[in-house]
Amino acid sequence: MNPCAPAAYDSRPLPDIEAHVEEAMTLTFEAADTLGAGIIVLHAGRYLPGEHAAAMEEFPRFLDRYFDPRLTLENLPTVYAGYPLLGNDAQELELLAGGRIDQFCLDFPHLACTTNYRGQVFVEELERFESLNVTLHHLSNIRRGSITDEHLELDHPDGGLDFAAVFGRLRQHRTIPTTLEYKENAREVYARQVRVFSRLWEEYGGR
Amino acid sequence: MGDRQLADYNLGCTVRPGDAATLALLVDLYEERAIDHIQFQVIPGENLRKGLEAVTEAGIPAAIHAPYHSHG
Repeated sequence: MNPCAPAAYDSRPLPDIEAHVEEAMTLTFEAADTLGAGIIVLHAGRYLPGEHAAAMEEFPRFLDRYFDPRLTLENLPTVYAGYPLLGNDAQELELLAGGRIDQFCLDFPHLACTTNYRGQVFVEELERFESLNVTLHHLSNIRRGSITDEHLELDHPDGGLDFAAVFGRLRQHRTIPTTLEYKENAREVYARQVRVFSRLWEEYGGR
Repeated sequence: MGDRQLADYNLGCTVRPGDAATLALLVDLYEERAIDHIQFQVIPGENLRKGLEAVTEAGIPAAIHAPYHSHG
């Protein structure tokens, strides 16, 4: 499902797409209700090149239909696999939230991809998230200087995430949950990454 | 990790529907107090309801992740 441009990159008829989104959101809210979750992380999605403005206009229509106070809007990298994504920095997330969504998820590697793509300073863009009500952090790693989100392990030899900045923020906001995100071989990866996180916490952000 | 005495941080891991092996590990990590929550990734499909039941039984505090654009 793709809130900011439902029919982009999708060959199905629009009614079928809308039915799928309806089902997906129904299942999502059902899962949150069942688990008593106060956070439902949401991506604004991807849009066709040149259609940024249209995507910014479409996202509020998604909220008109599916707004829920548990929705938590996550920052995305500027591009992935050649297509542009919406909601790349704190300012754009605030615009997309439109005063309705008031919970945000800060994904550190997504932000690093964005700042690498734009030639910005990661620490400066990270600081801008202080103006948002961040209720969840997402953490993995990216290759040094990369614009591509790969969900690398925290101790990957080519990893380039600015851990001093990341764990500095985590220390300042230690009650905000931090979720590790890995997709492949998750059991083996998590068993080790939880220990790596603990080591990094002590190294960069411990007492 | 198991001897962490105070809630210095609130760490969690993501689990996808039907990934029983990862969920079992996360239950162990939660019991060891190595993690504090899980993120349940909603992926529409036949594994979803069974996966949700398993996560509910685990009793670990959870956040939800709505489906990605890659989930149709």
